[in-house]
Amino acid sequence: MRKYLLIVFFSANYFFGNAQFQQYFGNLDTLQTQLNISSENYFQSNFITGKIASDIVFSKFITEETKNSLLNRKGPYNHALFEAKQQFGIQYRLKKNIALGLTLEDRILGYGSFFDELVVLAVFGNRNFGEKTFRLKDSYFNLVRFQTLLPTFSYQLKNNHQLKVGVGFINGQRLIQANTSNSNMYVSEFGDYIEMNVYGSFTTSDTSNTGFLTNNGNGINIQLSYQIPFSFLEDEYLKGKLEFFVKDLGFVSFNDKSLSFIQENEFYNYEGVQIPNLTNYPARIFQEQSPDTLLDDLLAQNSLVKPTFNLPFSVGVSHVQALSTKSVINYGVVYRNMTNYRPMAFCYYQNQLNQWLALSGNFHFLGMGNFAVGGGLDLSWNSLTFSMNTANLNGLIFKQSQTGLGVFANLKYNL
Amino acid sequence: MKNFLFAIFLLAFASCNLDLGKPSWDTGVKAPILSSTLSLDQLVKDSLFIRGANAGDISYIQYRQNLIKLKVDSLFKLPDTTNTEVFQLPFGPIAFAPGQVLTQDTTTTRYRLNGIQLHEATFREGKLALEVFSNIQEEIQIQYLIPNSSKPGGFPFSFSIFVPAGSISNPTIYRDTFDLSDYIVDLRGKNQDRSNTITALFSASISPNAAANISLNTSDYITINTTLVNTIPEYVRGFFSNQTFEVEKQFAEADVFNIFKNGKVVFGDPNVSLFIENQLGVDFAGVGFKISGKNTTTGNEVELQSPLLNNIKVSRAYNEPDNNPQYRANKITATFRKENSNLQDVLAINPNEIWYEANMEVNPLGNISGYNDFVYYNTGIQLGIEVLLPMFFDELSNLEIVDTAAYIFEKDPAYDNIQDGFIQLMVKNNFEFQISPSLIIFSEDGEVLDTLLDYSTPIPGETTRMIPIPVNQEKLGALYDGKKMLVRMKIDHFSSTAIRAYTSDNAEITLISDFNYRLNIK
Repeated sequence: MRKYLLIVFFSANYFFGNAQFQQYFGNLDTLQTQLNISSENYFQSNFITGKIASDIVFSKFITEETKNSLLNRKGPYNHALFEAKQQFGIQYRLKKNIALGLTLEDRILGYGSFFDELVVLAVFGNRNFGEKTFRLKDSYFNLVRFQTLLPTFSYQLKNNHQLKVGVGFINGQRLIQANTSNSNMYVSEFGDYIEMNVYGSFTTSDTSNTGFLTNNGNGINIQLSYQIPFSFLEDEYLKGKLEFFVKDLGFVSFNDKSLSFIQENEFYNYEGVQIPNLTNYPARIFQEQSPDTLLDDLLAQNSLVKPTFNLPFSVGVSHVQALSTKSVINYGVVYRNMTNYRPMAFCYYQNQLNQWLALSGNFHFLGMGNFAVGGGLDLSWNSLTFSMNTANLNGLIFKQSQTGLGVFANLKYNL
Repeated sequence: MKNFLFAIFLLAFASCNLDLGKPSWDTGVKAPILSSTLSLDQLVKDSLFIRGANAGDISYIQYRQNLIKLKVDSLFKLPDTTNTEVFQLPFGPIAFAPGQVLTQDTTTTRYRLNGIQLHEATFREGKLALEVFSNIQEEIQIQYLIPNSSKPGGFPFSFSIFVPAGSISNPTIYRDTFDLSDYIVDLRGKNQDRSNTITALFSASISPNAAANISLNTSDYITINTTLVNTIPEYVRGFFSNQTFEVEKQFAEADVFNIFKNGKVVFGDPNVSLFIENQLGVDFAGVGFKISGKNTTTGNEVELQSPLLNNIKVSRAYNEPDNNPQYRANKITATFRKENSNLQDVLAINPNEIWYEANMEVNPLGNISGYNDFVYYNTGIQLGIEVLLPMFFDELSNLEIVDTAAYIFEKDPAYDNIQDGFIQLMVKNNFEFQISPSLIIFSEDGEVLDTLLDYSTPIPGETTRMIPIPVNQEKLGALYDGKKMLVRMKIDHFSSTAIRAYTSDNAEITLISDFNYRLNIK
């Protein structure tokens, strides 16, 4: 039975954004030597439906029907969070109460919040509107890709409390940041006049150096956890733990080859290429000029900068509680330092059917998304455990109406 | 087995995330592409269109064309004229001492000018060519003087030369020229009672440098030819006779009307002036003057009818030798309007050629100046036509204005993403009349590739219309291949009231993209 519980504790909550944290810290009671490979890919949003997320991920053409479903889902403010994390970790038990670990991971993290009319403009364009001023305000988007080499140290105190610390080195590969605080785009009734009032910025890391593992910046990533044995059941075998954690506390400083475009209340208008005399004009006009003038004007005002991207740290608390010898529940709340991120509550329940198979169900609420339910399974064979989960069954089944998408997979081998 | 599964899993997720996240979707793009204005001044040559100073003014087309210029050399030309003097002894031998005069006389050179009687000339250029034939075996001195001539500085025209000795078997031929430029010559002759006549004194003598007396026989001779060569006057005065010059029927191209290809335009207040500038000191009259407009496309030709054409007279210029220029031209303008001519009918055929013929008469009243007709070099009688067409129309119907715009529209991969939709042609017609635009694409060879727009969308005066031009990849292909765009505009006005095109009037044209564009995230 104890053995079963160990498996359950491991797999209880390695998703919802704090999954990675849980993984490398392993189980409360075990600091054993192990290899661990995991892949987390999830998309949270309160407006991007499962179908769109799927189309985006798998590079498909997004149909009008799919776009319309998005239109139905969007609200005044629309959020999205995407994370793809591929991880390889090893933990070595140095002593009975000490374990050392090393984790390699590649992460793509994209998140943003978009004002209603910005979403409409991006998805549908301005064609089907008459005279309209698109308010492009209070919106931002961050996309960062980096790799982390993360040594960890786990120490179990005499009172069975457990402290875990990790300080990682980050290789910054790519950064794109965009935000607009109060921009407007006016399009006249017939589209013959466009006016923009831009208040925002756009930053990108070195665009000439974009391959996998390229180094465009460096940083650190700190992970902290403190676990306290806590059970609300009196049965001595039905243990629990309360965990307080902070993760992704750090930054990435990109190099000075990064470009930044800063616009502070800049005003642009565009009426097309002006041709004084249509019947007596050099032919080259159609060759040299294009309607991209507005964009060219915008991008012309760039400067080289050395941007620093602060990782959106997470802070949270979770409680894992064995309910029986074959079932466990994990619930908690986590907050990520992202603009418009709402503290996310989650709950996970797993039931061990036999020594090889465990089934689970979960739901979560808020964060960058809406309410979602999920499920998964764990397969065990001697020291090898394979887990597959999703937190967005609703998004998978009702793709055109439900938001969010994700799949989590893990393979662990205890040495 | 466990290691195998582990390796499979590792491979599986390592292969993930490649080429993911590149979706595409169609978005509607509505944005201006280009904007321009089409005004009447752009449809005629810039130099011909006079914009009103203020927005409320009526602009007009001004077209000026010189038709005829009657120059001085049409009136007369001083021909090369030769005078010959011969010296030969009637008997002999006779001995002549050094310096002794052989012959001395007055010579008269008379221009034959067919009724023209010149009293005075100032030569701009010209020569007096001297040719001497002599078989006298001693050097001969020739002296020549035009007493009634002068040059700034006060000296009359004269020269003195020595002709080398000759022989019977080998007579001397001596030639020389003397510049007549700037000399003022009285052409009235010795007693000032003639015309076209230059009187000169000449003498031939044994050279004073001769060593001894010389005996001359009857076989000895001297022949002296003096010729006025290429004389061009700077100024002449006299009586230029009563002459008539015929200007045969000929034409001048009238570019101003080339923009009007078809249809009918009746200008409300057309104004055609025949201007004549007389820089000559002779009276002038136009006789049998005919002007007509011809449309070479239709073959129609309408002659301008007006009583003004029968009474074209211009008085002589004023001679003001102390001024610059030394004359003051007399000018007259005969203005033809719809009230005094059939001008509207002439213009109604959209003439592209002006045909004209005339007889031009000088001094129709004879020698009323008392031999004080005058001309200066490079002056003449200039006759031309000026057309003023205020943008004020009594009638416009099916008037077609055509011009061609060259363009280059290079294929760009981004354009492949255009799915369907329109290029909207927004026309804001600020004119009072209706316009119907048309756009046709031609290849470099003149082959019609596509008609973007025909005349099917009329835009009434003072309204704005959106004209959708369907666009797809096929249409874009024609645009890529095209090199010229024929811009046509048909103009109509259905009201009986006259209409005006003010300075500020134009058609504002904006091309607007209005299509679905496939965004491909890369």
